[in-house]
Amino acid sequence: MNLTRREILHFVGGSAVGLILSPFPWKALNDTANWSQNWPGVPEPTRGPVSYKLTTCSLCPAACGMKVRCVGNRPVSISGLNSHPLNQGALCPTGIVSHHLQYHPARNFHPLRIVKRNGVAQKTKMTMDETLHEIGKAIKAAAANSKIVALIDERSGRTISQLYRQFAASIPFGMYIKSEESMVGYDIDNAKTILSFGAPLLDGWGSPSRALRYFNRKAVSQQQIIQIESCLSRTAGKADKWIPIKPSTEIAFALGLVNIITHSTNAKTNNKIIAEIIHIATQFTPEKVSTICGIKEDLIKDVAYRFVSTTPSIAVTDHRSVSKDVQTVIQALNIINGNIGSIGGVTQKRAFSNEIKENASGSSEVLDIQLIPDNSIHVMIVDESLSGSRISDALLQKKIVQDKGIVVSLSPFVHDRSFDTQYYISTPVFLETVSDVEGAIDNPVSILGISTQIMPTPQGLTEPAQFIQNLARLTGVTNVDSGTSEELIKKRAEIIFRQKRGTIYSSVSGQATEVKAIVSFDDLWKELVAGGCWMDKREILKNHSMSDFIKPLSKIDINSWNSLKDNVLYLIPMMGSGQYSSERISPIMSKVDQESGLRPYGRQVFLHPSTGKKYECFEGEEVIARTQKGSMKVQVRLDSSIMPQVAMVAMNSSGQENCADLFDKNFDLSIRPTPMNIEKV
Amino acid sequence: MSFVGWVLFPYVLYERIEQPLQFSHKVHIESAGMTCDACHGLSEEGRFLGIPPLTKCAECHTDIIGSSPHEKLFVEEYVKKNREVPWLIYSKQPQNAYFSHTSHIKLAKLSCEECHGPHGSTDSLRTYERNKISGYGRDIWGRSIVRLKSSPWDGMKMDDCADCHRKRGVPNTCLKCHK
Repeated sequence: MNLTRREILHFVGGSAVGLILSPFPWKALNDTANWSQNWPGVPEPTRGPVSYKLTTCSLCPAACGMKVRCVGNRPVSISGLNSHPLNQGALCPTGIVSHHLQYHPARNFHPLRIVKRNGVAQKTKMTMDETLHEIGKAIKAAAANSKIVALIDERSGRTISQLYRQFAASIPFGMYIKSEESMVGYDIDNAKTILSFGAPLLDGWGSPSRALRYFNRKAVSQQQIIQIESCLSRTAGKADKWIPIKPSTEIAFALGLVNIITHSTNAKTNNKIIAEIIHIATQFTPEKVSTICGIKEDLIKDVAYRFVSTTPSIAVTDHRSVSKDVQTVIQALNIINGNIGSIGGVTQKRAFSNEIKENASGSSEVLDIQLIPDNSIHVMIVDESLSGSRISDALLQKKIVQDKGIVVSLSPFVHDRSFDTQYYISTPVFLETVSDVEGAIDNPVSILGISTQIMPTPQGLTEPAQFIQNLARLTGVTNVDSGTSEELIKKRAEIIFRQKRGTIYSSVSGQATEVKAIVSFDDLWKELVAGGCWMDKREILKNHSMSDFIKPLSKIDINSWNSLKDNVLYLIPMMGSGQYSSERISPIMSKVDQESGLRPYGRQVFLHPSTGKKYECFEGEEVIARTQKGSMKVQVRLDSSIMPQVAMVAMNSSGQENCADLFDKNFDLSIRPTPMNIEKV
Repeated sequence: MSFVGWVLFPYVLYERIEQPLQFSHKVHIESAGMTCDACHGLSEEGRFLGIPPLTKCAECHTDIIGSSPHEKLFVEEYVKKNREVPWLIYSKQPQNAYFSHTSHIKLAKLSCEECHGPHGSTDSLRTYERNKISGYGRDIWGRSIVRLKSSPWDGMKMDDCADCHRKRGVPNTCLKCHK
């Protein structure tokens, strides 16, 4: 049979048409698309029974109650516990996605030694024994040569803090450094008038869920937030009233209020510091404060009137963004108004753990790292095992002995630091370990919450407690408590049970029970590890010590404000939680933060558009910010919430440069507005 | 080529695999007096339990209680050796589809048969037909190569779900099933 060309073409054409008219191509296309769903590498979600576990968030001190949804023992989502007294169902964006932390790309699962050669960091995996041996040797050498060994603890109210204190107290020239005074509490929830001097009350200050709760409760609570701040921050924008004072004139405004209140109430005091503040305040008449702060006289009087008449009232500030003097004057306002120890006022929390003896060099405890001389720490152990407020990298860098000091980081992640860390001890992340939570600054009483272990701890990780205990053994220190983290926390909880203090909230029943009504310690422990929380008994303090709240003032000269000239551009810091966090958070959150541009980074300078126009800067341009102290390349961001004639720079550390170096400093190393100039690159 | 597309292709496309064991739903329902939810029920928190685990079967079948060779095999090879039976699931959906049995049973009051057909009355398990390209069972696409539905349970693709929702006036969005 001979096939002609025409017949072959007919056959091919007919076959093509026949195939198209059959289901073959369409079904094959559909099935191929479905096949791609099962390619290797496509993540396969865990299958298994769904369960819910109750726990407490330990990423910051706020101790929010959480419900963790697990599929086959793997956490897949987190929500807040509605009945929990501390967060009432609200969670911050970081907490909601905290179960992502275990998959963070920066996680580290081995002890690491990092050596810089020719500017390149070489990472070497080590065994725990080798690491301990090398760090122990460095500590022994420092002790033998009377050099400082510092333990930096950003969250000083925890059980592990006790171990750090014990270790620091047991070695010569050991220093335990904590970031803030945690025993003062602010009863914000019960205050009707809240006078906030720049504190980001609705943007992460204290309990991050505050903003949600504030707006939910507003109709009932009738709270009023008056935000005194020199830029339209997120809190200023959401507050009931925003008082836009000139930059760094908070102390003048506070002294003006003291002047009006003491003048109208004829206040008398036996306390020397308060008497001194009242005396200084006599210079700060409403007329004078109006000139200094750039606001109307009547507004100052209105605020003073509201503060005194609509009680309970409270004055708060963010200790990270103002000097010690400003903090003292603001606390003096609380003292003069009778807010100390009262409902809706400032409280002194009671400790419930043992005191630690001082070491050979005197007091082992240092409240503020700024008080340690620069270039003096030989071995620095930094606890970064949990998120939370961190001492700036730049500040730590200044305190280490250059080129000779060693830095040991206890962290689940390898950090992108502005200085070298020689050793990384890989620690578990939240939900992989048991840890306790101490309560935030806006909790008026002491708190104990426990974050439970929901996922198994991966191999190669070391608990901070275990690390310190092993280091103590190696360096001959015997004064450090033994036991696992859970055992140590349990011992601490036993103190509460023995003292029969406060109430325990049960996440399971949603009820609060007095500790004295609980029969056995096991019952109390069961509640604590199931998302419960202990709250100390609220006591109205009568004989409180003023020194807990106020410190002696430096010399305040009313004429010093004359030095802030109208035609000069001043550099001021943007601090607190408004800036982009350098903490390790879920990549989803950091992506939102980075791409939205809502949170400023380090080395970004914010200018009012009119200031930008004056200095011929445009959005995103790189310029040189120059002060008498130094210069730095910064990126310009134009923002109409910033006052004209002011440049605000984010203080979070990134890269090798340090924004803090550009500023003039007060005696307590707090930052002053500093004249600056903008130069083209 | 039309013959290839209509007849040969569907035949070649599906790989026929026998279940590891035979199982009679009929015996369990008619003789043992059980109902669907005795084995395929909801857990305490409302989650559909799917194919029952070995422990569930072992509640009755710790020893051989009938005369079926398949039961003998089941007890000896699986129950006594504590091995789960690797059942082939006809209605297994892609991982990217989330389906709540609870809301369909409790809220929509659907019966099991509306989606799964009357296999509760069958005496043996059908041969599992696996699509060689996509890897899913034939029940997902349906018996007909051109998806001509012969019964409501013929086909379990997204279009089938959407059709049913449309008929019942139940609103649907992407994120309801694809979380």
